[in-house]
Amino acid sequence: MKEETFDSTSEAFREAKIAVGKLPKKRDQLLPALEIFQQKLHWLPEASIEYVANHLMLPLSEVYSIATGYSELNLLKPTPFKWHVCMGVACDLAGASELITCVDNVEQIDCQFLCALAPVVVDQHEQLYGRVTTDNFQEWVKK
Amino acid sequence: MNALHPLARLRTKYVAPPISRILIHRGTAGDAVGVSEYGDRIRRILEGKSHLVVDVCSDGANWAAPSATVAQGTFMRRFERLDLNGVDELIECFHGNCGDAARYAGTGEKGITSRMGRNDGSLGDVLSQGAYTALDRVLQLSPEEVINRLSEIGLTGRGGAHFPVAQKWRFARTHSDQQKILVVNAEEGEPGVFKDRHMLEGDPHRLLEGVLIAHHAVGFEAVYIYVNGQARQAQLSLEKALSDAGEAGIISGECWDRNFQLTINIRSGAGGYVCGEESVILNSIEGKRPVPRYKPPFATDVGLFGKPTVINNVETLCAVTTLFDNPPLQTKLISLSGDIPRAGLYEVPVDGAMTWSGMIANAGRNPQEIKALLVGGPSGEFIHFQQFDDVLEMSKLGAGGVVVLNSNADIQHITNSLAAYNKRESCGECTPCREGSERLTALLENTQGNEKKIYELVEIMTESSLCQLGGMAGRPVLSALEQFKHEFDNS
Repeated sequence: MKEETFDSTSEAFREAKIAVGKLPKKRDQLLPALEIFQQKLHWLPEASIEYVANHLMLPLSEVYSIATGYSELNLLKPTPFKWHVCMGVACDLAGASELITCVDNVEQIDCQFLCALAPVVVDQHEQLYGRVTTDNFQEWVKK
Repeated sequence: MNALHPLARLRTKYVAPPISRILIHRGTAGDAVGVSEYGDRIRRILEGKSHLVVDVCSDGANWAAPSATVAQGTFMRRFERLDLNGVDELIECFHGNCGDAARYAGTGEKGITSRMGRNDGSLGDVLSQGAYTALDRVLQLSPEEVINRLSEIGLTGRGGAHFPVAQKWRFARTHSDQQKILVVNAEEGEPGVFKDRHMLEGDPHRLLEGVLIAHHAVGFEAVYIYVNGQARQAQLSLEKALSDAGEAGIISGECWDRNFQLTINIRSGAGGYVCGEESVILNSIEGKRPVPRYKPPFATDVGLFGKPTVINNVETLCAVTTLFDNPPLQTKLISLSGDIPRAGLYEVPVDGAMTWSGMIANAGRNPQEIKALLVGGPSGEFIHFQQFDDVLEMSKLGAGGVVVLNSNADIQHITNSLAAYNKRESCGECTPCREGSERLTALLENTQGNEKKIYELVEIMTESSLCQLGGMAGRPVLSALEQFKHEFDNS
């Protein structure tokens, strides 16, 4: 896999390393460790996988195998600032496809569990917005 | 030793005298429609009294959001859609001028949602509303008496499988291995279901009380609460509750003059529908790939870290706190969405008193305008309008996700997107699901002439998949083909 550019001197990376370093060196800390990096960096660069493998004394391949197993762990750097439109059944019924076509550069996402306020969109901070209309969505995306 | 009874001692220490308050319904639902803006406005208007305006979670009535409730003792009045109606009437009411319509219309008059959206998240607030009273009574009973009580009231699991709770607990209790584990399934990854999130956001102490009751009955060495990775607010509320209850000595047992010898760990999931499957949760907590395990052995024998493990859903453990209710509480949480005016979380009776029609009408829609209900999402089934007079039964509700479909809803489109979802979410561990879900979506592209193949494929997936993701993937498909065949004929 092609490694994306990654700044290994960043403050976020340093903080994540400190937090992971405090976890007990036990196998069941693997997912919590990966989640710390995911939350701090929003993805898992190779250096983070290596750090986790070293700390928990697990083979690199093993850590990769876990990291690829969970949909919320990203091995690729996410594209900067993108809106997501929920495509769960309730949102679909409430016109989510119109939200997707009314603006450029949005992605679909599976059910966000806010079905009673459909249609729902998500910003880059994972903040959910309910009862979204094409008018206000166009306005937010423009900002 | 203090002369006061433990619960009385707790209340004396934490409960504040009752005051009139305005409850701003935040939580994931309130925040998604910007309720804070109205909270700020109300605080500005009340100036010196702004400390009486407190943030609480959604009360389940998502349709009413952004909303706030005036709470004066037992009197409650919720003001709905503040974005449309403004806050003037609410302020008037707070000043004592509430008019006639003074009845609170939350979803939980009693039952497990009774404190949801009515407490500010503090220990004192939930104690004043009855938290930990069931645990207090349970501690006077022997473990066997607690399990017998659950058996008497016939409490079953609320995660979808409806296994009798007493049976599961008794099996674990009598297991020869002394080190037992409780895993709380708070993964809730089924599209269309949002009940456990609401419970954890709105009343996490109820779950903790259920956990401690389970501990008294079975005797665990550790508890793992596995929370959906996307349910951040739910996890934060739970963490706060655990920390508050810990400080008060509720978890250690100190405040009950006991030593519970229990550790409660919160673990966050990292995505995937399959992560809600029991054995996947075990693998996930152990730091393994999210794939199901072969059964047998069952978790009650060989579970987390190889130890006998009880796995209970959040709603199940919350329902356990009602074990002394007389008559026994027979309700199920329903996540209602789709084409319905009052969509949200409902706690509905499943004692034979409520029909689908009744539920639809309660939520503001004439049942005759509705074509079908999708119950149970990607592993569920369609309920045809001709069955709307059937009474709600626990065993038919799955995890309680209900999407209301009006006459314009395209059943074929919905069926195809559910099948596509199952295909995407298949973990790939077993062939029937990995290959079957792929083939099923392809066959659904053109159902005409392929019906026999679809039935055969679904039978194979149902019989031989490793877990229920594959095992139930064909259910909505067959249900759609059987009841709405005409909608597929034109494809």
